[in-house]
Amino acid sequence: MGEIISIDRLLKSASALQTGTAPWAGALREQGREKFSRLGIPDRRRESWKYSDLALALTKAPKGTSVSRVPLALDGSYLAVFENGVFDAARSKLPADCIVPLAAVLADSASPFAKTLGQINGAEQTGHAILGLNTARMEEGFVLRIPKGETLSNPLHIRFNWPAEETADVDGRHVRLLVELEEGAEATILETHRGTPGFATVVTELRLAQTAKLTHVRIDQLGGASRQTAITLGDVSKAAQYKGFYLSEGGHFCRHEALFELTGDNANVEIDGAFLVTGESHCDNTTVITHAAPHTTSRQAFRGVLSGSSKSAYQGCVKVRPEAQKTNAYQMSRALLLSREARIATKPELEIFADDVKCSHGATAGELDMDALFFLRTRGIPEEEARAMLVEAFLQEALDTIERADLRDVAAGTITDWLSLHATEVTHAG
Amino acid sequence: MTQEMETLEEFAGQKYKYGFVSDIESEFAPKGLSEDVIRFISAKKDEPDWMLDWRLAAYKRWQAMREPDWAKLHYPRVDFDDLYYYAAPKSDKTSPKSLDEVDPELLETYKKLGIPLSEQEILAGVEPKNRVAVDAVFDSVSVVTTFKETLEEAGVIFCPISEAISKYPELVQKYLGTVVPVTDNFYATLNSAVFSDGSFVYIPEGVRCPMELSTYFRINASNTGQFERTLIIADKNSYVSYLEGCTAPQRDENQLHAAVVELVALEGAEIKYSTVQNWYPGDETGKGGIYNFVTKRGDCRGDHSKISWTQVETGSAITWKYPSCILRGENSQGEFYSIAITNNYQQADTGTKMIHLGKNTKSRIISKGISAGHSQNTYRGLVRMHSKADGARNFTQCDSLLMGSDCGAHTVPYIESRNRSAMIEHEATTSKISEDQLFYCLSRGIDAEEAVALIVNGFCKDVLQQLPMEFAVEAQKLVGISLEGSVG
Repeated sequence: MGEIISIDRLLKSASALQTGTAPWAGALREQGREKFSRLGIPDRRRESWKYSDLALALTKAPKGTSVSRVPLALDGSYLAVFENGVFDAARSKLPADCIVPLAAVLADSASPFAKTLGQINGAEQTGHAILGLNTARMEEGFVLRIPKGETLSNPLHIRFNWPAEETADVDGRHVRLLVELEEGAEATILETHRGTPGFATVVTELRLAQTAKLTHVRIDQLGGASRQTAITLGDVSKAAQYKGFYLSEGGHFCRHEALFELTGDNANVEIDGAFLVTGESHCDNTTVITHAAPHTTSRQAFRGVLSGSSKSAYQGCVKVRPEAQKTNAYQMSRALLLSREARIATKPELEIFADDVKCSHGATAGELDMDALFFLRTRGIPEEEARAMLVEAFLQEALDTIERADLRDVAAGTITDWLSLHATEVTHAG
Repeated sequence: MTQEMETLEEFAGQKYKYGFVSDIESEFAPKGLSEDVIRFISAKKDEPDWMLDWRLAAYKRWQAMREPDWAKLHYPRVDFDDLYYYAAPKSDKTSPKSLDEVDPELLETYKKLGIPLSEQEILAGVEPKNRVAVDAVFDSVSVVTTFKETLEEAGVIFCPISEAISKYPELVQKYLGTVVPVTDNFYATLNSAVFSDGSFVYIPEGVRCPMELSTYFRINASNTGQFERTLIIADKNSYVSYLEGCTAPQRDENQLHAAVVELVALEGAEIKYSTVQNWYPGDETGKGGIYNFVTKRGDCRGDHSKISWTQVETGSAITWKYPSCILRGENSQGEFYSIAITNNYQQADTGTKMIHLGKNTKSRIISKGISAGHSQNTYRGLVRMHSKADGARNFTQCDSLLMGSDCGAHTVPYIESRNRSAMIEHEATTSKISEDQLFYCLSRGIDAEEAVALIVNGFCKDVLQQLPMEFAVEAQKLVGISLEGSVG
């Protein structure tokens, strides 16, 4: 690890992948290759990568320690396991009849998914270098399709086990998932990442047809030396609902983008997020929510707990197209800085082209509330304990937004685990 | 169509009140930009060699720079070789000793501009009750500077910068370019190379400037970019309030304007800088109008110093302007109060930067953006807490009001904190004018246009309150006029 990763090196095997793919998939891949070689590896001169310089992260030898974590499990769920970015059928327990491996989709010249794969939220796909790279190199992954009116009986747990630092592959692993919920279909997905990928891109495309409902909980527990950039793209149509919860512990380079387009009346997107970062880790949550139809609503709330000399960023953009009258959009970002060296950059952006809208955002950054701390101490609670309580309470508000108790427990467990692993940073003023 | 909408549309169709061209003979530098033009400008102004060298160095740097394109602004590229960089009224060498010597056309211009009566009295040599000093910039060269004596008594220097360069070279050399470096940005570097004139203010230690200083900028000769350079230095424990107001004649071709304003506040000093900008915004179809690319920055160099920017931006076709504060001194304060109104096809990308370097520094940003017609209005701001800014505080509020379905309102705030004990609070809202409020006003017998003016003025109240008296009245009227009629 630590070598300079070039565009050519990242695209090296892309042409070899062309054998056996259907013409439409070949064309898609070629477009991706062309896009990535034209745009290059994003660096901080590119506005949306200002706080996350991927080119630099790929050149610098990653630093950071990893603590082995207990694999997350959700009782009674379906399971899809990816071992170092490769789908592991033997260890997976998939729901019947609704999952097609990506390779099969790409080889099928008459695939029904040809019109959605690589096409979700097209406006945000243009000019996105990493999407180009992922499309050029996608090999592993699957398509999940829930037919009209059906509900996936149990949550699907997509578990990514990235290898330990020593065996990580710097040339990159590129996974692509497509989830299609037909009219009125419902599903719950738990996506977890563990280990230390040398460089991984994970792209998830979501198509929610009318009145479909998707609950998506994403937990990153990556090692301090990991480099990952994940992108979730969504097309949320009429009266459909996406409810996301993103929890991240950062990494050497750890970025997640949620790029959603609300394309039908009354579509709704709600995203809550929490990030807990320490050491020299980096964590970037970027969202672009495009309101493209009237009466659509979106809500985003991100909370960060930052210690060590970590660097985090939250960039949230709400776009309201001229036709999206009666939009209601809300954004909130709060950062709690626990140490002297921790840094946060926040950019809550509004781009509004319709007049009858209600859009607002709020952002705060600061340390623990001294008044609250004082109050707890006057009640006889020792300082360390009081600090821990306040940090927990700060995060609890995010957790409360997860409706399903079992999912909430998984997320809460991850937070508790992190807080106990980093108890000193949390309980002592650094 | 409802009655309100009709009145509104009628209003939106209002012609620019200050559109006129006064015919005064101008002396031009040759068209285009070259070393020779810079030498010409410098020679015209009898500048010392160090000033010429400074300009030439800036020009050299500028040639290697690229025009910034990150703002949400769309306009045809400016051909920098198709502009005049210097135009001065013929009479610049024999500055008038009395009002009789002042070109009557100029006086007429001031009258049309609606320069307050008190200032006209100053021009007429009458001792006024409410004193305001005017350093009028008429197409690049200061023609009339009044109240010199009163200011001199207090030790205040208020003069055209060209005069300061020859009279107070040590002050100019010490401070010029220290807040906005020559290399700062494309437009500031261009300004450094070709700046024509502007104001220079120095307030000595412990002096509270006896009057509000005011400059009326005005672009006149056709096709002349105007490049003012303003430098204000407030020495220890001094105070000054500076007013800048602008109107411009109506014409078809876009005009470039790239000013640089530098403020230096030393220990315990306070500078209040207020602007009302009402340049020609272009016609209803977006034709013509001023391109306004301004670099304004204040440096709170000393402890306990304070710089406050207040701006009412209603004019210009393109506005690119970010009055900023560098909060270097401990306990220093920065403020930014802004109203930006865009109508028809105007585009504004404006905001502020608050750079907190010192301990316990405080900043406050209140921005009100109002867009109507087909206009685009962007707030772009940066709040940065550096690692040594212990106990720093920032509060930001940006509100946008939309009128009509074809306009846009955008907010792009950057918030960066590298200090745990720094507290940042930011809030922003975007909405349209409240129908309930409008209905309430109408039901009380207030007509539509008055109701809109009332509501918008209420929306802008926090900023309007910050303006000095002389400006507040004018600004309030301006807000009403620019907007009534745009509610859809």
